Amino acid sequence: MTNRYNTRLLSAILGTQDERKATGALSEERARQALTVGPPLSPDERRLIWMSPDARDVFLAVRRQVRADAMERVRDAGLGTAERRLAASGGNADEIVGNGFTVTVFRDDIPGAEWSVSLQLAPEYLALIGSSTAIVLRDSGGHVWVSGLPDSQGCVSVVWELSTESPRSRLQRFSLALEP
Amino acid sequence: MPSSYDENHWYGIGWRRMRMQIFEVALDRSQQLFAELAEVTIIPRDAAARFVENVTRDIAKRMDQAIRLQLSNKDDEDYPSSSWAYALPLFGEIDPLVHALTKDAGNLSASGGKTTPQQALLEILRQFLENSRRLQSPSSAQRLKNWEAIDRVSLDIARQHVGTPIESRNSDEHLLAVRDELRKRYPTNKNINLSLGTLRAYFDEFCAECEIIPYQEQTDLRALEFETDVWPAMDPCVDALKKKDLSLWEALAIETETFDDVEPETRQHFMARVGLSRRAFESKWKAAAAMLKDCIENSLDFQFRRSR
Repeated sequence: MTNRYNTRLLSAILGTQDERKATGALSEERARQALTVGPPLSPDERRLIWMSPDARDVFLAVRRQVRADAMERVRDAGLGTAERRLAASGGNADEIVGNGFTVTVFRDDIPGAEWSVSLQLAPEYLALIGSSTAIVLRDSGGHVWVSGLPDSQGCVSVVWELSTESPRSRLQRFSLALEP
Repeated sequence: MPSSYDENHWYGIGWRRMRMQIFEVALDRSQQLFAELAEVTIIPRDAAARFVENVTRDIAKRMDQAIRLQLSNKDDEDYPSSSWAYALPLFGEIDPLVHALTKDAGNLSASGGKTTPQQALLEILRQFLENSRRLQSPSSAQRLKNWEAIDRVSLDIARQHVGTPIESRNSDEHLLAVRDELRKRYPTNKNINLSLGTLRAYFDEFCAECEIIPYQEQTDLRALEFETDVWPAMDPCVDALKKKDLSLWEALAIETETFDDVEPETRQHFMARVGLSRRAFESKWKAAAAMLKDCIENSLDFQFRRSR
């Protein structure tokens, strides 16, 4: 079994792709549109991004730019941080209120999935990043708590995947930051 | 119209973006071209000329629109400049393109061959645009001369450093070595005593095979998964490769440090143990990667067909 995220291996493989086999084109404008206001990428466009090195380069460069722009807007607005660390607490749920977002940590009874994390973006944060921009909630220790595209209500919910440490324990050591 | 040789549009990602925009315009016009080339009553050269004329006109229209937009935002210093103004001059001398399209009319009008008409069209355009890009440089003769000197030094360095990262002409180590050697050999020649960025631009322009593989960043590949909702199923492909030729897989696993079922060891150690030269090792892992690529592209195709 290869590691699912063995990116060095996949990079080496993608490095042998032949641009001449590509059957379409993806413009910078279309990539920017898909990453910001929509409509999202069609199946043919998504396929093209995997098959064409040129389309992939364009798409990833635009994506980096879109995210950097959104990050700047968020920082300028003083949003995206949650300075306060959570003190040790009991009960089945904890809430961390950040600048422009709220994180709720639930204790579940489901075996193998003991914790759930729900991230709610404030309207002002959503307005800055647009409806098609994915977010990443990360702690200052580098662990990614939540990543993905917010739903129509500005919410993303995930199961806590770190088996070696609980969210409560990390909150006592690290602060949270929300990035586009 | 641009008056200077703007590297942002002629090199690297800027060039790829512009080329992609041109491809998009061309593909929009391609169905008419394919249909006309398949029509026996139409002379292929006329169809090709009409296609090129339409594409050029579309690009000119987009350039006009971009200029109008720029004028209406002239007070906004951050308003991005349009690449369309750089795209149009590429079609200044269209005869080679018309000729290439006419010559390849068979592939452009028929599907079911080794390449699709779209693939054939994009390949012709790619070659035409590469040649045009070089002609657009106001100092192309001088640049070519500079490149010849850079290329000589680069090849010498690659030969002198077989088996090290400096050998690889797409590595930063190689570029640094080339820059230092150029300074040593030609201390007073300002044309080739260049910054690393400018040196990279020369490699981008003149040495397609030296192009850096830009997919090293884990975040980029994870971003691809996130944005496309697809990740290639690598395991079945790797298993098939192992069955076919285990030694190929071992070389690729060592190169990419995929030590799930291969004993961890350095490249040098592996080459010495198996008795491979650096070049033979590279050939092996590249052959393995190419074999996996076909399998993984099929897997991606399947996933996208299923998601429709």
